[in-house]
Amino acid sequence: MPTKVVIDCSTGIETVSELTDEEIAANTAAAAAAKEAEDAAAVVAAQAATDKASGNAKLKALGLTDEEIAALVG
Amino acid sequence: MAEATELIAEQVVSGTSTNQITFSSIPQTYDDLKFIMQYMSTGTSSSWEYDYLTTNFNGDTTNAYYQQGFMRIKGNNDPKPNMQTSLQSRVSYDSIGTSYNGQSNPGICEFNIPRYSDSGRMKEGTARFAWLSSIDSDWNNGYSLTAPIAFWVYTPTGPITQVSFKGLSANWKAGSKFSLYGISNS
Repeated sequence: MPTKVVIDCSTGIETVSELTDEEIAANTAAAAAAKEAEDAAAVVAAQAATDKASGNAKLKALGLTDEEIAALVG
Repeated sequence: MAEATELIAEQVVSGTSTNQITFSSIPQTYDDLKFIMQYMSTGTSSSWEYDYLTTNFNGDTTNAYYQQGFMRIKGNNDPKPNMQTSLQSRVSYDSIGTSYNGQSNPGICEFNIPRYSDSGRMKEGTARFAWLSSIDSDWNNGYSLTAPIAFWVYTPTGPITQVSFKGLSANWKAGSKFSLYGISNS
């Protein structure tokens, strides 16, 4: 069973207790939400990378050099 | 003006069941607080190559926290600033090394809480944190994960008397160390 440790800074006493079912459920929900947000951000980043590569390819097709493209898009 | 830093309390994790560490009844006699931490999680899931250090003040898990300036850097990818502008139920930084795929690198964090005992104003602070993957394929690709600095706000205006740290996906690994220092300006 996961536990929580509380250190009372005024006395130095440490108290160890088990997490409640509600705390475990909250942890599980928070982890799932964080993973979901991260996965969503990864999809956005992947699409941005795809768009960037596509844009660069189109600029090259117009005859721009890599240096000129870099100067344009930073 | 002289500055003095004093260790208030320290916790070194033993065993594998510690999920949350709380420093309570923090003395209100210092000017500022600083945590210095080195930590790993027991997690081995492939979904969690790294985990999030989450922080709460005064046992408050309402949407009272705001943070930004959060930046992840992968050596072989573009930098990924992650400006988190909505209110959240905690401060959260992805800096915990997990045990996934035999990793052994801990994360580190210096967490500052200036003027923590003030009343009548929101609390603002900074965190510096870093973690480096120890997976060979990541390492060979120059994969690192770090954030030079992040800024957080805790919107309630009362003094901070309690600070809690936990990961999201697993427990703290044995040897993880959490040190709380009080800083006096005179």
